Amino acid sequence: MVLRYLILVLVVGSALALNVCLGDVPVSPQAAWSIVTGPPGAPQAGSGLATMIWQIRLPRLLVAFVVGSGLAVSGYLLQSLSRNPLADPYLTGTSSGAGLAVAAATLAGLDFALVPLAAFAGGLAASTVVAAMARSPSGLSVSRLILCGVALSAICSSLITFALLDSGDPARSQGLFLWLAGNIGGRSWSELAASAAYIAVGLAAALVLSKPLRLLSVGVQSAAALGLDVVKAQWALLFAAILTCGASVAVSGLVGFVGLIAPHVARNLFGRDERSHIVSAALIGAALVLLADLAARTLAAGQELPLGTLLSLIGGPFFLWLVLHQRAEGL
Amino acid sequence: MSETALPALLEASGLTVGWGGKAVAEQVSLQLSAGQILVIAGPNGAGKSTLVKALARQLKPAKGTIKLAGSDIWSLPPRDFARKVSYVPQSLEPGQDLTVRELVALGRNPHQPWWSWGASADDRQAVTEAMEKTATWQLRDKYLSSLSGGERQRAVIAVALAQKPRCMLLDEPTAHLDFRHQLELVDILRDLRGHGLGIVLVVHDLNLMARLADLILLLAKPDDRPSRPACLGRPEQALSQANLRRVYGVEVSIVTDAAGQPVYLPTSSSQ
Repeated sequence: MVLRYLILVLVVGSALALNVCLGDVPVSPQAAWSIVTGPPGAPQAGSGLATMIWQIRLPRLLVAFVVGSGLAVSGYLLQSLSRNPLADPYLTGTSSGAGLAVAAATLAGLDFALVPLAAFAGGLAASTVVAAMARSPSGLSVSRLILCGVALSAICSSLITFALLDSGDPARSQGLFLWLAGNIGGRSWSELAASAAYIAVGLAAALVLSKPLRLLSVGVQSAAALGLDVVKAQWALLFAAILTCGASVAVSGLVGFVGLIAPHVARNLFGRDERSHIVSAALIGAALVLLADLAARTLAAGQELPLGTLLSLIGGPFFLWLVLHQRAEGL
Repeated sequence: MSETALPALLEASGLTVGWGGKAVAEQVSLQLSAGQILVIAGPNGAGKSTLVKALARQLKPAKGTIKLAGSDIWSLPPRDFARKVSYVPQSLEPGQDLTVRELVALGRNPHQPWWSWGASADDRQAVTEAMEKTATWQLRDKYLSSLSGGERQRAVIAVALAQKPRCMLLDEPTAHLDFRHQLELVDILRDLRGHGLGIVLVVHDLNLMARLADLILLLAKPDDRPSRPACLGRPEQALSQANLRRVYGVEVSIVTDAAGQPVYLPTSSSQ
């Protein structure tokens, strides 16, 4: 287990380093090191490299880190809550709700600094609607949660498309389209800080709520019999999931499948303790988005592939594999 | 036995229980004292499990009240209730595979801070004792998914024992147990009764309940109507031929075994 964590940390570390060094303008590791360890406020005079690293690459790779871990934790919580390994922020409507809010906010001309807040509110609203519809006398009903989430996602997606068609401002629609396809370039340090703060709170909440999470894993009935306030615990966990997902969507748009893949790998490779799952899923998600973004920036010279599209290319087959694998287990 | 001299541990009065506005059982009243075993019996669909769920605070009754040592069970915080009452459902639905020891350790949850994974010496001792009593200690590192139905049932009973409750509610705890483990469970329950626990359980086997119960609540299910208590009394009184004919529609001959215990032999369906 220690060895696995060591390897995971090494992977994340190298992904971070590669993201600093590689790109249209390659930077040698030594130069990158001296720039990153130098004072951030005063880059060496006349150094374009320092500006590029401090203003473009560092915020970008940190956004990748934060978004990856946020989506992974959100996915882990949603999978555990719904007791369904196929659940992720998309299936439960959270991401699409956040996406719709961002589309509406952008088209309404809302100042960009406020867009992340709108995304969070949208994710919260969508999840609240879904959770309220999925409520049953004995807590949240799993199948209803997923079914209502899928339906709400579909509604949000078509509303986003209508909004884009109808905006009458091609430039703005184009920007929005890129953002929705999943894009973490060009984020500022303040946007990064805001989403990182939300995600840190969600991550901490997930760790604190790991015992209730285990109790829920033996079933709602048994959890209640063991003294857990089931409805309260489910809402608290759902809120943590929305917080991490909403903050991720706000800063990165719709980046799919991280919330599906990372928790799955964590569950299979990092023991059975919920806390270990949460921490390792966060790191795996970070590594996944860092490597995917590296590929998005470097695979096609002079051109950047949309991150979300690239991840869907990996995630789609993974999802299908999961479904087939489950069928083999008799589901 | 002086049932009335002891304070009522669990007391239900005028209960109507059911699902989604549809009553399954009505007009149920019962009193359980410390050191008593109450068996709920009746035909399929009579609402035995639903009634136990209501007593276990899993389901709000449509009518009536349930009191634990004098206070309404719905006025108690869930953890306080779980420290005093444990509930063994008919089946367990684990989403994540746990070992037997991990599962039984969850029984200590109501005694620990809600966020804490730490176990005190008391916790560890209660978990070990519960596993030894239910013969699951040798299964402690096995995964639940690898257990037989009976082993799993014993593990779930161990969880309820680890809670160290004053009152235990068990829904068909003998369903998956073979002959020997049924008898062992009877011994465990008798031992717990000797230690002053109040126990409510649903059982189908007439002979098992006759041997175990201090009181039997017999539910009768008329066609298309919610069931009602047909009798609440001592075994020999509740399990009379007339009652069994009325409730189950079955003729039963009652003989006496060498130890002077009544033995119930269902002979024919009376319809």
